[in-house]
Amino acid sequence: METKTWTTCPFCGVGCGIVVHTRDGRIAWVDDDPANLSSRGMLCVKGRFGTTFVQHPDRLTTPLIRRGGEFVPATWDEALDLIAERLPAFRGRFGSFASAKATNEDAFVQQKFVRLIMGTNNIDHCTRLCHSPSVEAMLDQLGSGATSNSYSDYEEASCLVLVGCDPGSNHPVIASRMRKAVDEFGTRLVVVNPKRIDMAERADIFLQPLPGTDVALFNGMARAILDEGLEDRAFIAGRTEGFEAWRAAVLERTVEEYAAVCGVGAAELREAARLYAAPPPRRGLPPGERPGSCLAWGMGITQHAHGTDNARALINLALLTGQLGRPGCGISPLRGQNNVQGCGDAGCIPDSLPGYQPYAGDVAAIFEEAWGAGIPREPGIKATDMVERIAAGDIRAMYIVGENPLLSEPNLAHAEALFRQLDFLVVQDLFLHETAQLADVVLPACSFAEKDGTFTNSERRVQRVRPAIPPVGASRPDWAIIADLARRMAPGAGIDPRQFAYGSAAEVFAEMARLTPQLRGISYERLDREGGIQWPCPNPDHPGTRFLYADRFPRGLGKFVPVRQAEPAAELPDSAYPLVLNTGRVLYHWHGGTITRRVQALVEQMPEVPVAIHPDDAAKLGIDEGVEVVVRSRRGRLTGKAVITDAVREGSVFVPFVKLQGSAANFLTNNAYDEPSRIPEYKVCAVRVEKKRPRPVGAIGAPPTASRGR
Amino acid sequence: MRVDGQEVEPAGTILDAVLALGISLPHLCKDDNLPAIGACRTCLVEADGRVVAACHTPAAGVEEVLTASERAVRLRRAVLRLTARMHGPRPDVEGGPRSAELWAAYGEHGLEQPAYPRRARDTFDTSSPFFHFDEQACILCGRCVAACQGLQHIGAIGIAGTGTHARVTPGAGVAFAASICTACGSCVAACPTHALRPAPSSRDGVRFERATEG
Amino acid sequence: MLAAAHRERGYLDPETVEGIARELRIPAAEAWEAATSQHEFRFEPGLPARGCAGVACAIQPGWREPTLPAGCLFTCFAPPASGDERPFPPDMVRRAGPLLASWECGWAGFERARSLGPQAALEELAASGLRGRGGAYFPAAAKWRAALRHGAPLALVMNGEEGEPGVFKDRALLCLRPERVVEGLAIAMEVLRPAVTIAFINGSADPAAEAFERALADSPVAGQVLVYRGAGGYVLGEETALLNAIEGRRAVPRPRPPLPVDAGLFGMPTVVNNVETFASVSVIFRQGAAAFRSFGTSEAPGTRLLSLSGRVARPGIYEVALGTRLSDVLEEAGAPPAERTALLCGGPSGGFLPAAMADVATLPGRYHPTGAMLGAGGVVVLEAPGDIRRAALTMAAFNAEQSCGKCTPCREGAPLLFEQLSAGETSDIDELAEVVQAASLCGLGQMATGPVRSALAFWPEVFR
Ligand code: SF4
Ligand code: SF4
Ligand code: SF4
Ligand code: FES
Repeated sequence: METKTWTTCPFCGVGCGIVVHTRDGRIAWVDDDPANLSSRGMLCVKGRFGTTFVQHPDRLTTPLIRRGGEFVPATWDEALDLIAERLPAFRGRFGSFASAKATNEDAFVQQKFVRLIMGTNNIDHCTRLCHSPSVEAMLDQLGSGATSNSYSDYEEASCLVLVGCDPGSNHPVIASRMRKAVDEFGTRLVVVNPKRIDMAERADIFLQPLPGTDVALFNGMARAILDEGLEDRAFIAGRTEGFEAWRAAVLERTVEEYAAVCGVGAAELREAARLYAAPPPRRGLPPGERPGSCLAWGMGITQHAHGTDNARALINLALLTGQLGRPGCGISPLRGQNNVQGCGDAGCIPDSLPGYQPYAGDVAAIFEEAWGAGIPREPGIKATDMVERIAAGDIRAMYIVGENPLLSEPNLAHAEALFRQLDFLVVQDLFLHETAQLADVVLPACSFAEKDGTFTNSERRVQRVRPAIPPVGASRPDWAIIADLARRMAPGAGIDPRQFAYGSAAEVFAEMARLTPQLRGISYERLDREGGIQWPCPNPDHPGTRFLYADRFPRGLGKFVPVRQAEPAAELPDSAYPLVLNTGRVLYHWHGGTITRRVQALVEQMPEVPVAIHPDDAAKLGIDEGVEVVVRSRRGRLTGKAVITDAVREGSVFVPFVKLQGSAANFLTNNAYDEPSRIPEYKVCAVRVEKKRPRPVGAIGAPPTASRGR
Repeated sequence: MRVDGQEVEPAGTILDAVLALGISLPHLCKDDNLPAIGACRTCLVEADGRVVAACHTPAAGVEEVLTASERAVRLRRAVLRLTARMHGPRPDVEGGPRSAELWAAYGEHGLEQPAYPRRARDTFDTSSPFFHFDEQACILCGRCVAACQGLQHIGAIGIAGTGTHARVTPGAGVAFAASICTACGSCVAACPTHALRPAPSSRDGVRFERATEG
Repeated sequence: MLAAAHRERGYLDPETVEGIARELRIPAAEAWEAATSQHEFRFEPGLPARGCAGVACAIQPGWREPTLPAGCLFTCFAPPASGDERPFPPDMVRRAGPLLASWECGWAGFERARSLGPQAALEELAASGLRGRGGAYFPAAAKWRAALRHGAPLALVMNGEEGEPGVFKDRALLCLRPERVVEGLAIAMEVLRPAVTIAFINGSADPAAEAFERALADSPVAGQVLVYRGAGGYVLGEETALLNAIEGRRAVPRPRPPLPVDAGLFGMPTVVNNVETFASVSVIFRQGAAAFRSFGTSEAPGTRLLSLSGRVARPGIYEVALGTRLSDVLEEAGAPPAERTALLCGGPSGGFLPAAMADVATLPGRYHPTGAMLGAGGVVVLEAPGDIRRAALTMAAFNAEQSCGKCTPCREGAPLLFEQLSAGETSDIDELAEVVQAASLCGLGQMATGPVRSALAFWPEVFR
């Protein structure tokens, strides 16, 4: 039997529409969906060829309970009763990670469970590891933490500025739409990245700053704009505050000085600033319309010890030039996972309720009335802190859904030691990954291909997920598992179990829409009829919102915040560790690779961790293309294959953070954090690279990696 | 406008109108997701007495379209006979999602035996783990190139060479794996034959080794 | 850039093309497909200088049965040709009219167009009744109006590819009277006010291009015209293929609509006119529409250049009023007696005609339903039936070779036509010819059957 199911890609934040073709209950082919408003018939390799992971034999098929150090299969009743019995003891010392891969419905039920049943706001998800600095800065300066524009704005912009992101690898379909703009409309392209990414091949200006000097770079651009009088005075006067203080800070140095700090040419820096502030109109720009510029950034900005400052410097630039709130401009922190946006929207963050609503009296009261019980009003602990505070005993039990922190946390060896100290760990996921191995109870969840729900992509578009195949084994949707558990625990917590008596994902969504003003106008019925809808969508007649901030910012005026270049990074190269390690993603694997390692073709494409190194450094170290190399930092080491390329700067090495053959970059990275957002500094740390010594005879069985006992 | 006697709104191209009525007409180079290319010439119909390619002739201004007139069918058959000159027998493997289009077109036009000697071309590019390119099944319709250049804006492949030297070529004459191909698969999705088809390993969930885990 | 690199090294290799692609910031595959779609480029070093495979050369002694590849070197007036192009010899102008009359200094025509203003100038052009000289004879004024109708930025393109064997009149004009062409172009720029003006000149016609650039440098539009050198071959007679070549894409025709006047070069409304058309525009504005109309017929006014080659005493360019009897021209050129003579009229897109039937007016349209036509004015005089087989095979081979390879009927059909003709298997050639003609995407394929059909119609015996 053959079926076709219109659904949404489970990989990245682009949120492409896919049509899953099945034959006899197995996925046979994934087609693009020309009608999808976000992807318009485009797809990338992961969406197209990567979904077979859902039928991998490694999929968990039954709940597992640890008995005497061994996992034994259990029934749902056994597993859930065990959890329901153990968890109440950890109230007050409990934390939970939600999954940015799961649906909005899953996330909503999970945060409700944590807040209502466990009585804590200790819930967080991977935004902490990617865009929390952006969200932090945007909330502070603009009052909303979402991407302000839509993908169609990239096509309508006259200039695109890509900073510290590699859409060609991480957001392939956004990259396609950007290339379309460049090819068809002559849109100018400015690329800022320490690594020469694919998009740089088509760029008008390509700046390769020294790692960690981003603030200086953006201040330099601002200075150039001020020097040439290209700022948007009307916008500054009417829509912003704090301009003078900020201006004074920027004027402390000249463009030449800024450029020198970053190791880029002052002339190029000026030209980049000019293109951003006042680009020449693209072909086909409606007459009379001001040419717009889009600013997009990625982890290269945020995963630094001063990631929030980096984001602030960028937002300052957007405010200075007024490139906000019109078609063809705006700011976009490019989201990594398919549903980071939605997971935050649904309330899986420690500092606000669903829809980024504060714990303040009247809002919390609405929730309390709807849920028929009190909710905690103090902000919870952030994800990275939860792990760090295991040591102090503040967190003794955790419930982790669809995350593998033992691959994604920085300084893995340290993190693993902490997780081993937990008294009780529940992991709910598709595979028995590194973190799950340490769990007391493992629950098998359904993949995206087996359940109903919604994802919200980077452009705030809420899109439907629909089941294409029957659940694998005894797995159940995340929301259903948590709701079942909550019903078992509700009486003990003094909550009405009917609060968790959801009959379908649609019922969950309806409750979420009711409680979240920005989603209020969206329903499954509308999504099925109209396709994806971009929030804010306050009522059922509202068409959704393409770009934000047309005439005001949620906080009123946009706020300039002065920022100054600090030490480039918490850990700088020295004689023992002379190179700077830069991490990122590759096209063929997705994040840590828990999923993509299970797609045969993706593994064939890239079987080993590539270590990209500049030809001059390679020559100094006597390393040839393709040889096995060991990369060491103060915290660990990995082995990989040398790729010699001038795409990286001299003095830097680049390693994607996928884990292949037991090697992963996060054994090396530093657990230094950005203060306001608590994001770890993945992007910069000091390492040394050496040729792998031939293994001494007899030492077989002890692979020279930092992997834990298998 | 009337198509084979049925009234229809003349919006878009003649092909749009024909397909909207559920009439089957080959359109081997026109993918629903891509603009008209006009290369395969298998969508010929008679429009107000002229023989035109339905995929790129606007419906507006046309009154009477005949898809099954003796002349249209004869010419389509003749084009398909020329098409058949390019490829060998149907490969005995699973094709991409649209790979049946070519064989269906032959079937509908009663072509079983190739009329002309085959023009052998035999590149077989298995360098990508995701899909294979089997040139002997390629009819040079150009859909794959349109998908790669026009839809995905990647430009990993082109049709190099003129006349009978024309050939789907990644990069400046390299293999797929050595080109800038990102394996997005849009070309595979578009191909109306078995030329670009998913590689066996990318579609079968069972052929995995068990992945090693921590 | 591809043309420049080709000139420097004599051939292109993948590395060179990749390098150029990187510099232009386009993908290698797109540059490679653009490069390999141009017929005159070579991709291996050290090939011998290409011999000519045009008809006038084909009938010279030492001719081999045509094999693919085939091409023409455009010096059909002095066969056999080989090597690089030389400037057009002035003594090959056998009869000159207004187009080839010597150039009086100054830019009077341009001044006049300027003083009239675009509107009135366009009316003057319409009054002259000028039809495009590329071979399709579309009224020039109507084309310009169609492009202006959009009110959007326009592109103006001069087509000087001249890829048809047996035609060398554009080269003659460009070498001998480049100012006239430049003036016509300048007038068009005055009327159309294009955002970009491109003069496309055949990649091997160096002398013509140099003369044109010299004239351009002294003209009122100096610095406003981009000279583009391509190597695209016969298919560039198709406007959309020419536009693709200029855009740096694979030089193949686009499906129509849209017509170039609606969306052509980079999507802009685009006017493409032939070199000779621009020269005629200059004549019209210097002498007035009425004087222009004093030549030719009311439907097809003016003069045009015929390129005569082959077995005539005086080959070369004849400027004649449209409507002149073809037989008169032949007589002037010193063609042999009609009984033993055949003509190839309109080159690979035209057809053969027994000279006895040459008492026809040189007007747009076919001289004979099997193919012969005025076209771009090429006439090759042949001995019948002695030369017919060679000539027909040469033309069939040329079409097969010059097929851009985009559409199936032409790519697959044209070589089959050649093969069947060559093997003498003519039984179902009619059916094949019908589909190639009716189904091909562009004119090249649609008209490729003319030489085959006409040769078979008049001299079936030579192919047995
Ligand atoms: S771009 Fe992202 S959403 Fe689109 S197919 Fe690729 S992984 Fe999926
Ligand atoms: S799979 Fe490769 S060749 Fe095919 S469309 Fe995608 S990038 Fe182009
Ligand atoms: S590979 Fe397929 S899509 Fe591409 S030209 Fe050949 S038949 Fe057409
Ligand atoms: S579908 Fe019309 S020409 Fe191919």
